Amino acid sequence: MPRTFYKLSNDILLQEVANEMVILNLADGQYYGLNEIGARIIQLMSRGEDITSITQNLLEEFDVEQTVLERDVQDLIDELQQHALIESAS
Amino acid sequence: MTRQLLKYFVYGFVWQTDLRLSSCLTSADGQTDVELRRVHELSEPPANCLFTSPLVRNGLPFLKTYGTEQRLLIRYPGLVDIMVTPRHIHYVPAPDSDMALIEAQCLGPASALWLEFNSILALHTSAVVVDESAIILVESSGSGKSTLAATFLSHQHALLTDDILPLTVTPQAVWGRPGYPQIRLYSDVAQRFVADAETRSSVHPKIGKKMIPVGGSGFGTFHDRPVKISYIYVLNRVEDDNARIAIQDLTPAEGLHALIRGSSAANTLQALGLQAHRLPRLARIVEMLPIRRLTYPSGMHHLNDIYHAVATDVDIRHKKSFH
Repeated sequence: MPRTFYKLSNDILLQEVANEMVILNLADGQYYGLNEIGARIIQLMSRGEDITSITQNLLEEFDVEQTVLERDVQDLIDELQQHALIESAS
Repeated sequence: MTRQLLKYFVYGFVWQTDLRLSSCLTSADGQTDVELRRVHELSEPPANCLFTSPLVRNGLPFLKTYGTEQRLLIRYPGLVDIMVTPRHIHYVPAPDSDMALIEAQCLGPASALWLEFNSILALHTSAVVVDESAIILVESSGSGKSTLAATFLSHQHALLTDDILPLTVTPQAVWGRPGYPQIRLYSDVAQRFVADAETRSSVHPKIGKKMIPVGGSGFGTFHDRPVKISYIYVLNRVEDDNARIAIQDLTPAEGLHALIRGSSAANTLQALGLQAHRLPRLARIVEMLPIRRLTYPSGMHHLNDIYHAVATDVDIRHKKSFH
């Protein structure tokens, strides 16, 4: 199975504030807050981890069912792509 | 003809300038921090365009900026070219330009970029002193910052700034430096607070805003020293006369976004790549200060109620912090 990688778009900045991760899209001035799991996904993605590895890491770190987590990860990736915050790096 | 350079305190720094600053600035001694003066031509003006304002005046963009992190040209076509570096602000007026307008651009956007070049955060905001610390009223133009600030002045609070607010973040506190002693109000608003408002100079012939001196024999009082910032209110004026005045906490993400939007010359800072350096300091401010959204109805007849709502909020929070 091919490994699926994403990378952060060039126009975004990440900033942690009061234990919350904020993504700023410099291209359109929009901002997005991420919860703890979302912030961890972005962190692992920016380290170059692929989706399978990201999901595996999260399963070890959070008390969550695998099917629920896989759906949540995919939902977040879809949303980040829709807003041009990440792009495919495969 | 070369005019004599005089020294004034602006934003807590010593400015040496040939502008006859119309806003009653305090004279200064000591080493000059920045030189602001007219030159015949700008040496090696940068050519790479960073930002073009969507606003148009006389068929030309209202504003264009060019440059690099240490050398910035701000061009107001038909009015003035201003070059900003970490030590100088030099300007070349267009023929027959209105010097009051040039002064406003030098004290406003050019000063903000000079402050940012010197690693000082510059918000475009109004701030007033309440109980020995300052509250910031932040939002984009036209949301009523100056009108609300004037209401505070009419209730015996001092003005810290009505244009640029330089902020310094220390481990213990966020400090605001004073701006210059002037508030800009639309004519109808100015008449509510100042008897001779109609005789005051306009910010621009086509803009109905008046430049009202603050302190001395002018309107209200001016706070001319740095002061700790206690609260930030993000203004949300709604066009509904029946809307309730409400004050709510913002999430950290909302607070950070409000401070980015409230930054002076945000588009140019972004194009220069300076936002990445500013963000950790803005985030620190969000972590240190309560940031609250103040929702209120439009209309001058609501101003006193809005003032009392904010003053009560500040009072309650002060009392909580002492217990």
